[in-house]
Amino acid sequence: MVPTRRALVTVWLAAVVAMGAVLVVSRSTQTPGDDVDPARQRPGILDLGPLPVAAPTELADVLAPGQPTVVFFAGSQAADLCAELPDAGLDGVALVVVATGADACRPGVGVLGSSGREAAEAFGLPSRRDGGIPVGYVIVDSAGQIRYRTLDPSVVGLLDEVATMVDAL
Amino acid sequence: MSNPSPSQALRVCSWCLVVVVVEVLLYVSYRSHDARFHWLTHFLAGASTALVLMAAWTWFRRRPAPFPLVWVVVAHLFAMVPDLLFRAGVAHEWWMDLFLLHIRSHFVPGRNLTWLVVFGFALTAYLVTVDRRARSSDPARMAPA
Repeated sequence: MVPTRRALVTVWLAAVVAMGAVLVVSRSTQTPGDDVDPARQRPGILDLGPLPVAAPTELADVLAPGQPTVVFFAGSQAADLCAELPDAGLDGVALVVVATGADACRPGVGVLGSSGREAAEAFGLPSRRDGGIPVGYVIVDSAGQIRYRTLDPSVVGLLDEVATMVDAL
Repeated sequence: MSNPSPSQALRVCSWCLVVVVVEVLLYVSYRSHDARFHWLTHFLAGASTALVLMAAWTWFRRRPAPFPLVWVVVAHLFAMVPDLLFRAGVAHEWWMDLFLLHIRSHFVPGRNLTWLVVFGFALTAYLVTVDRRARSSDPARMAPA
């Protein structure tokens, strides 16, 4: 049995309005710490866009030559991040935390004691929607090339994703 | 066409309910607040593809595609296979665009708004095909008044 034309129009309107509502909701749930462009946040693939590019030479001393490095921009989450890193499955990877108050990460984790804004710019980390201090991470391979960078306000709870991306190097 | 009987309406509603539950589970499989963007992209890309295939099915079979919501869910699942792999520890790679442009679909100009427009056109194509093609062979249309 074929639906009436009125039923077909009703289906069209209901479906498009419903999906439009979902689109509006998805935009409204972005937080101030998210990327301006949600497509660039946690894309899950190496070498996106202009990558790979060389890591900034002025920050070469925080990297570990010949070894992959993950540079975390922890913002105010430094304490929680430092508590989770030992169980993050990131063995064999040099870890650097950029944040004030990240001393709890020592030893074993490099610490760059700054708010992270300048270092984030040097590594090309995207800007937050509110322009605040970024929370996210950058993955640099053993050749000193930046292969992955993303904002991730939920990084403390998603460290297994960091391990997945490091494994993909 | 007469109105659907209560049993027909219930059957349709039960399919809707199953689909809603499945889609909620797929959504929950994305773990963070920024997941809605990814879920919606792959839903719209999958649903649009399903609607185009359903339009082709309707054109050749001269009747509406059966279980239309199942087509949509299956296409959505196909589009998000790389995300299921990611949950299993496999990072994305460019060849995964085989799954309905899984990676590139996020980067179309206009992002998900563009996909919503594509979805609207695909739905229009399917419903117009149902209206024109399936109605032309609908026995009810031939029945005496």
